[in-house]
Amino acid sequence: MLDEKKLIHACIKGERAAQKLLYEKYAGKLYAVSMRYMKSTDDANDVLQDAFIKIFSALGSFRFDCPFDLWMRRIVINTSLTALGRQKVNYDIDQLDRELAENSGNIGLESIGYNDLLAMIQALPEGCRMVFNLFAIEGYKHTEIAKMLGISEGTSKSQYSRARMILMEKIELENSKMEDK
Amino acid sequence: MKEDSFENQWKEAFENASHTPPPEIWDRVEAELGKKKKSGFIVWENPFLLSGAAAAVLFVLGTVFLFEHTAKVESLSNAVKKDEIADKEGQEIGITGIIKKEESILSNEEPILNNEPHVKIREKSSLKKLAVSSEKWELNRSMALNEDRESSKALSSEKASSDSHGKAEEMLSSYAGTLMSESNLIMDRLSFIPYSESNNAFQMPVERIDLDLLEDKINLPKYEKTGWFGLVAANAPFNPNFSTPGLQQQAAAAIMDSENTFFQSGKGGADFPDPSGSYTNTSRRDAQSSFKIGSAISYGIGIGKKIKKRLGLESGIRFTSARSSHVYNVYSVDKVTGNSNSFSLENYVLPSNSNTSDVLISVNGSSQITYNFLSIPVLLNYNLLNMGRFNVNAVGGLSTEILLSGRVAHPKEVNQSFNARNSNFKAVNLAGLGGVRLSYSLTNQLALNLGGTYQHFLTSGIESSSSASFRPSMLGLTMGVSVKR
Repeated sequence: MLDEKKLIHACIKGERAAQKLLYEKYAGKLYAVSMRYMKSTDDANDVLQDAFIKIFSALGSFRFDCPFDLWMRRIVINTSLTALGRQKVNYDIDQLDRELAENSGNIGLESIGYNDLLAMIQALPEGCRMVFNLFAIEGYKHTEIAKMLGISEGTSKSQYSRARMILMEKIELENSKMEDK
Repeated sequence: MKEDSFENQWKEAFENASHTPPPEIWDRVEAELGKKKKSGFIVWENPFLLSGAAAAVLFVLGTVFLFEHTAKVESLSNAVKKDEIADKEGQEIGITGIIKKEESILSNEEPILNNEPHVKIREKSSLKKLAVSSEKWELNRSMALNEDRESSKALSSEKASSDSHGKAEEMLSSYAGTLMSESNLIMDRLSFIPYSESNNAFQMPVERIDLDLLEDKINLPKYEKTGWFGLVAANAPFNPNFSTPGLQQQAAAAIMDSENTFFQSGKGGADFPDPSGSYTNTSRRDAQSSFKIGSAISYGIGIGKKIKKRLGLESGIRFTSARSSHVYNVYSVDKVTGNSNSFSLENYVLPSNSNTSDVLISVNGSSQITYNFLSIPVLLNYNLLNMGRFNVNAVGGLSTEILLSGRVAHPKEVNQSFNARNSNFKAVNLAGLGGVRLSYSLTNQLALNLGGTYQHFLTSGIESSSSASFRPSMLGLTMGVSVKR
């Protein structure tokens, strides 16, 4: 913990070696976050780059009152949302999708590998992907997501339900493939 | 539980996920960091310098405006003086001309045309006066000259000529004086206008005088009240529109990460937070943080200029002090000193000199947050209605809001001061504002203003690196007094 503080202070001072050390320490985890939000690797690379520039610029305002990795993760998420916000995201969804996705139970996700799960998330439509990541993985509430994305709470719920339905179908398919093997 | 399992499985699958990025990303970051260090202008980083610069610009603009106005008035004054001198000279020549003409009429000589007097009126309001005066002049002049004619029959031609000269001169001088003194008109000598002799050789071509009164023939520099300056004050409910998305999740994560989530005794620990309501549960659903609607007061000076018949441009400089309360139950706590603060303030915006790394959910606490802004609005106003002394204007535009300072007042803790340099608040912000203003002209120069204005930050007043958003809005009354120049 103390080492991390020293490292952060060195980064604030602009010491390049410390900055590189911090990058190496956290880039992997943060890259995994940006990969979940962005569809392509190139976009995820850009997000990671922008996020680290923001992190180093705003490091002076970090006051060690919340976990450092959480703080950085938030920056990566915001950068991803900003990048996605530049693209026109279609949030139109049929009501039917939402109803179909209600009350799905335990799905046995543990049998599927990380890369396959990541590919499933990346294959989701933009709107669904953002809402799914924010709700299911980051733990934001729909009211908060609605504010963050500038959509209604209902739209956030619809997007999430659709994402959930798509993912469940894919998981079922994946599981049935494995059973066949 | 069943419903949560879907999310939990995904969360677990990605919680500690790591993905090695391509090596060139660090090179790109490093290159960008090198560029960033070189950029940046000191004025933008210092709100006091920035506000000083803004005030200086405003002062210079105001001075230029006033100087231009003074120059206009002086040039007008000089023009009037010149005209008066010219008129005086012209008047003398003109009256002499009339006398000479009368002489020539009486002596049956050709009229002298070159110095024919004509009167040019520069003020529309004086038209009637002059017309009346001209009619009187003509009537009395005819009477005088008829009288002269009759007397000329009885007297010798030389004597008659002499008497009538005296009377006519006296009469004309009297009416020329009347014209000048009664109407207080600015008179000018016209270029030559041919004298047409009517049946009555003694009739002056009155029509010509009336025609010459047309205002549009005058090239005098026009001046009307096109600008104003004044004092402005406003009082409005202030909604900070402060949102801290993800607070509960972050608070919960921070609590779980803290070494000790329970409040320990220390300085101030006995009474704050309330020991009876000390933290017992890490459920993130319990975290609360809300920023209530408060009030704002602002005052300053304004200047305005008319740019078209109904359209005007205005600016000014105002100081705004806004206050609102913050209610919360998630605290960042320094377990050594016992100092605590709102987790959302500590986490999103405010600096902390102490090590408030422990997080605690407890009973509700509250603090008062004061924000001091320097506002420089640039507005367009459009005159909607003009009814005698009342004017209704629609006003709208942009305002640069510079955060000068702020303060968080805790009931039982040390107050915290903040500004753009030691917090995540931005120094310079942009707000849109619009409203309606009713003006009542007390005199030709002085007006009272009362209006309703709505102002809203167009951009978040907090750095984008923080996921919090601060877009204050104010809807309230503005009042002021303005002096037209």
